[in-house]
Amino acid sequence: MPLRRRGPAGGAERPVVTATERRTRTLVVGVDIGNSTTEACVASIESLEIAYLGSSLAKTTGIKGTADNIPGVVRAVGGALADAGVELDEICKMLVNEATPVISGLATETITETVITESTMIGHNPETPGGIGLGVGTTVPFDRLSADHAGEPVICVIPSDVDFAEAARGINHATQYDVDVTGAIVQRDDARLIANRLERAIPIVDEVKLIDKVPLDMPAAVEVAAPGHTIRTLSNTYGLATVFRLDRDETRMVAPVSRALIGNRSAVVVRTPQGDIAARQIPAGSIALIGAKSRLGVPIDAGAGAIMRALRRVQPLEDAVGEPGTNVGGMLAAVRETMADLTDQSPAGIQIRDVLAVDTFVPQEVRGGLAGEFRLENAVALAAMVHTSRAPMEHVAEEMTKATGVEVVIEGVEANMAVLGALTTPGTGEPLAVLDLGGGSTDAALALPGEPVRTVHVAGAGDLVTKLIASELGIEDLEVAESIKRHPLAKVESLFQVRLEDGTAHFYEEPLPADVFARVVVLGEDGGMAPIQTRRGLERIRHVRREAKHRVFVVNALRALEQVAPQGSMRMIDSVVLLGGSALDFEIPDMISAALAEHGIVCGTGNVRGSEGPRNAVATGLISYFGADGG
Amino acid sequence: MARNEPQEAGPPGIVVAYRPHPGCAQALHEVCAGIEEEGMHFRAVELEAADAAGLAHQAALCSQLLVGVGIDEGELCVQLAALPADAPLERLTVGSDESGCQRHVGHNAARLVKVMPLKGYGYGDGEETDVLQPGEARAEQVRQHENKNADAAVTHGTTNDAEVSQA
Repeated sequence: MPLRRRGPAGGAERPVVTATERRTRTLVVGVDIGNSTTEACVASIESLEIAYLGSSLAKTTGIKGTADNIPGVVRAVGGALADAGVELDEICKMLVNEATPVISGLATETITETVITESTMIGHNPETPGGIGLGVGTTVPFDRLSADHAGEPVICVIPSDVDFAEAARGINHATQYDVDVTGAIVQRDDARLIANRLERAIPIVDEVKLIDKVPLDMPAAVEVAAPGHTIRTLSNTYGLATVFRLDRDETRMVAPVSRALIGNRSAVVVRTPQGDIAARQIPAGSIALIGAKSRLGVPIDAGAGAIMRALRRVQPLEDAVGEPGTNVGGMLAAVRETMADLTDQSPAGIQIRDVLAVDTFVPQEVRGGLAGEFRLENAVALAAMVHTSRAPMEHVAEEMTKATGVEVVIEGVEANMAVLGALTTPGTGEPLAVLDLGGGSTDAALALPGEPVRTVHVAGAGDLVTKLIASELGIEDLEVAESIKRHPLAKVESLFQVRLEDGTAHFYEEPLPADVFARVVVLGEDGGMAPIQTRRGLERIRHVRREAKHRVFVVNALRALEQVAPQGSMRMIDSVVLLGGSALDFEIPDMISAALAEHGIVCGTGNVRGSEGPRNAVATGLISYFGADGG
Repeated sequence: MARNEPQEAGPPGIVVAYRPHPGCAQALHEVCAGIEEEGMHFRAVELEAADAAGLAHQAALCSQLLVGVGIDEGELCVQLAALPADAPLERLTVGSDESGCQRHVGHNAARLVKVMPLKGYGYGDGEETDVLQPGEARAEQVRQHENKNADAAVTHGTTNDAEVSQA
């Protein structure tokens, strides 16, 4: 995230610090330690006049509210001082807020699984299969292709030591001996080379790396679809039944095979009749939601919708318990334990106060008679959030004093400070609601005149979006998922040209590197591009990205505002300012604004002090609160 | 060769330029096989140039598709007419038994025209493809499956309990 600084105009307004002023004014630093970033702001206070001199932000080190935060604090404060042109020994006070003791945990739980143990299948999509159509026969290795198999339909299995010309000669020759070669499975990327040299067209599937694992002397079927089409027979349960002459019960058992092959350009199914086949739902565990008045148990495999409906019914949530011995149980227990360590409480004293469930899907290896074949399985992603009874901020404050030698004052509740900071946005005024779109949680605060600020923290924010993108696209590296979340996509169409996701083209004077050619890339802010290591197309990646943002941030914005609104009525909220790192996103604020517009709410990204964008609100609010007190 | 006999005229294709040297026939065979496997046409021509990059550049200028391959002793280059003559897109130093890599040069020349990701840059070369696992591995999985079934039955019981406990 780029550091937002004042533009040239703002810089010109910066007060000139003279020697006399230095003696009469009070210099303070506001520090906000967030889940992912630590922000600092330097200001001078003279009677009730506040002049903001500089601000900065740094990555939060360690878990919020622990002594590990200090390096991040030192970096942020140092940056703000440098921005302001002020030395550390001139600072008389450092302000931090009572941290909201909110921590969130994430887990994804698959609720379906495909297990195949009877047939062996190769359902891959080599880029260049050969031939076309369907071939059925017995699997025979190339070197045993002889008159022994005369009159018999045969699927030829060709290992990598056989050259394409030799393979084609062998198959042509076998046909002369009345061996009916109806299809071929090839180890090397040779399918089209072989097909071009055959006297009779047969379907050929190539790039089968583990060719020695293909069961021999077994009935098999090879299918290659026409260009632009997908296979028809092997992906159809009754097609498979016809090919292998299966009865009703056997057909039921091969159904998962055909389902797993849907959408493929080519496939091989070898029937090895033993064992059984099963596609079943894994009992994914259940979650018990304990509200003030009632308690509801929801099985995770009922899906995110059921969990969220149950949550609304038990609201306010007092605790959530996962079924022991399942993933849900383990995940909720992990959140509890981290929080317990952090606050020196027993895990039993930690209560989960909010959960967000999101339906998702995860590419999972199909278990059973095949390996390396991926299938999208349904899953539920869960973010959970914990409140603790005690904020460990005193300890952090002590450490800050030790590290900087400056007196640290803890004051102000985070939500109130965020509202104060947000109110420095031009065009705002009370009543005002603030949505802080963070990394771990989405926080809402509503300030109505003459009333205490109403506030709520709900589970799920930027980190969950990253996790959803990573799991749905099967990307292991979270950094890559993070950059997909943050930047628009483009497709490299030639060595000099990219097509951006909005359809416009961009030309380059220098040729682009070969490793991005014809790939989907993320465009960085510096103009650099990073290829995404997936076969999925641009549209698909974009869809996953936008859906993830929508299912987390739009859902949470509505959920959070509903909880702070008087009588839960969104109509009572007039305007909303978006704050936090995710408010800098290039599409999340638009999505939320569009959703809130339906409720007649004015919504926009905050611009703290007219210069900082959605950043630095709490740090600014701290100073503004301190200054209003008269310093 | 069935379809792609080197020829003067014909359908638009990639030009493969070579300078005769020991091992030239093998390299040419592999490059042309790579192009053919991608379903594209090619034309092989004998040319004179300083090096493989020079051959590739001339070849690209001759090709209607503006893509050329240069084969010289010890080196293979893929070139696009739009690129600087001395900076080919791909340069492969040839050892003795790298027929697979030589074929990649052909694949990549064709993929430049087809606008498909190039081979040898990390992904897609066999991703999601290794599929089979019968035999011992399979027996192992059947065992795991059976164990899992047993576990599953137990867990399922608890799930039902949780459902029953709904208030």
